[in-house]
Amino acid sequence: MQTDNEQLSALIDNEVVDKPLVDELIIDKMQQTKFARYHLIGDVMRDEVAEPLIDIDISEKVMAAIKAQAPSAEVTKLDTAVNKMPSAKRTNIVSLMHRFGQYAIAASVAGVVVVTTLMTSPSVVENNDTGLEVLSTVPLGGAVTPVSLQANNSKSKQALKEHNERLEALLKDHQLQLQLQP
Amino acid sequence: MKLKLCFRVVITTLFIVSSHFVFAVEENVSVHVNDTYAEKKKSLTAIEYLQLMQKAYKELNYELLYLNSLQNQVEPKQLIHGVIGGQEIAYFCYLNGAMRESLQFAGKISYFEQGLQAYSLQAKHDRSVFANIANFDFVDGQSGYEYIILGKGRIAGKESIAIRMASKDEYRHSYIIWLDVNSYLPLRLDTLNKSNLILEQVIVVSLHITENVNPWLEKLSRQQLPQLLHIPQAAQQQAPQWQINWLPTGFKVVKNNQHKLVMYKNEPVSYIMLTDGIVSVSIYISAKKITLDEKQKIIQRGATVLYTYQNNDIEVNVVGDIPVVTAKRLIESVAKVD
Amino acid sequence: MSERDLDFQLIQRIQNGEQQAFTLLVRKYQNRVANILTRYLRNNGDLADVTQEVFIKVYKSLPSFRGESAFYTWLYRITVNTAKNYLTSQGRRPPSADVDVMEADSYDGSEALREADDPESVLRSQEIKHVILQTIEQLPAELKSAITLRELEGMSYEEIANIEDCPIGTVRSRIFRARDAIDKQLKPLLEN
Repeated sequence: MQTDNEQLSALIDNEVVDKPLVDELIIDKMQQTKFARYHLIGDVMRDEVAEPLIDIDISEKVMAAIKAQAPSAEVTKLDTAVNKMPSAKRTNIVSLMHRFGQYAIAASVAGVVVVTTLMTSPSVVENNDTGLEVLSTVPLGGAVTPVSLQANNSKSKQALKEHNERLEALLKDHQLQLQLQP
Repeated sequence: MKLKLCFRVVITTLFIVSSHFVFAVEENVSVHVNDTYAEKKKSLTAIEYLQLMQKAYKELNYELLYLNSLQNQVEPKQLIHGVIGGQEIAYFCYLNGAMRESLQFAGKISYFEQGLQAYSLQAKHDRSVFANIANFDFVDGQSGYEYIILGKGRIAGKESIAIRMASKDEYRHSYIIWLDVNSYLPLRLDTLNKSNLILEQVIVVSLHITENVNPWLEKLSRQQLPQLLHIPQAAQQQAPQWQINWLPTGFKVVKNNQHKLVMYKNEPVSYIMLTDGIVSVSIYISAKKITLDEKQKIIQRGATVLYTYQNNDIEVNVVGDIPVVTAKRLIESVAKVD
Repeated sequence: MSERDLDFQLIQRIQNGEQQAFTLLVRKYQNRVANILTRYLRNNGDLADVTQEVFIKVYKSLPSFRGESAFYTWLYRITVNTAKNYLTSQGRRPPSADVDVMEADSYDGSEALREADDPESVLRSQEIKHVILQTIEQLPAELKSAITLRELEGMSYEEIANIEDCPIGTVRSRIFRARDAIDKQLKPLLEN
């Protein structure tokens, strides 16, 4: 027992890898309270405690709350085969939109952002001898003011927004296709 | 003669673009080198340097901190690369703002972002910062580019050599690749248009090479990866409906399919991808949804162009790191398969 | 984070579906989280609830935690964000500047007006504090020194062994004996 507790003390200090001890700790409530007290000692020494919460244990409440909402907080595992998960394929595809919308593309090398602040740029990077209108995107928070939407006479704001959303989707799909090259 | 002229243009441009940058110019280079080690280096050709760069980028254990800049926007990033059991592993991270990280290992790439569920994708291709030049076949590439050693300089505290990868025609961008003369790792990559203006730049500010693989990578390699997402397959069984009747030299078509835009209402599109090994271009052909005021519209950001063209009921979009003129010609060449 | 890091071991278990391991992270960090929250919250009556909310958020976000930064740094950010959201939801303005981990010590929100705490529990926690600090004072010098270097200076056993010029095993044993001695006083106090 003594050596067990010394082992627990060393575990707290990140000085030992003891898998069986952690296994035990996860189920043994008595050991857990000791674990908590050992931590409380350090917290008090460093004056990192709130008064008067000092001896209230919220772990049970937290665990109960987590269990109550378990499905949404499901932890994904490596290579969870798609067919093993109920209706996983469908959810995958739906949520893909969300995920790509958020991030995947930004992480890729040539992430292209924000087409909504389109503007006619006088200092276009490319020599444009094609005689076409060249637009340049500016990043969000950029210093340049976007061209007023009213200037786009015949086009409604909504249509422009739709169009830009679609362009953004194309840019993202392009990134996705690069990722999925044969 | 022509070569020399081109060389001078580049030097001048570099001075304009980054005047603070100390550049060892022209004839002086050979005067400075005197020891045998330098002799050996000097004897390497541009292609040999580039090939050594590719080997180093894939085989060494290193950490790069670099800046990615385009259109006055600078983004600091980190790449940690290592080799574990003969397999490459690369960890990538945005250094500013929200945590955005990715890990590429064992045929998968996993994305992590603060507050969002992490996920993985199948990924055969390295998409890390210098991956394009690190995987390019420079020998084959001579049909589209020529390689010229420009001179020496200092990047991230390392003695480095600059090699210009110049497009032989107006249909693609040119590049200047800087690499460390000792490790051969790439340290800077400029993407230039035909007027030698820098469209995009990646510049390493810190390079750290280690004998052993970074322990953090080693740990990651043993960790379980997040759930693998399956991208809806393109309808492979359908025969291509569209084709392009013109290809820039060195490019080939690698995909021609029909798929859906998962990010936009699952809209079906016909899709063609072409690549020359450095850049890949996507062509989307779809029904016209929203009529624009203009028949065509061009959006540029850094080296990337998005060219939209509408004709009757059809809309064609071209996306890729190519000059506008290339996009235009590609669109003109799009034709229905008979 | 290293292999030996307990947080790392626990997070791996949780990420592998061993939900129950999370209870240890809660027990380990609940006091520190509550302490951070007191810098933002004026009404201690909400403290337990908001602390709980922080841990639920942490649990939900764990799948995306990669361990590039220390778990505590990450936890700290979630705590601060939760506190700010809470203040906003209460119609109060969060502090204009972020309190960072580094400058946390110099930021003292406890000076702010706070609704009166329950005097009984205040007394009780003061007693707990007193017992812990008192027992440490009375420890043999080598035990006191070992636990102080560990808990206040955050040194590893190896570093302490170098300073104290003794084997690592001795450091390990001293720290344990110190904790054990304090725990003997603390346990009855918490159990009643």
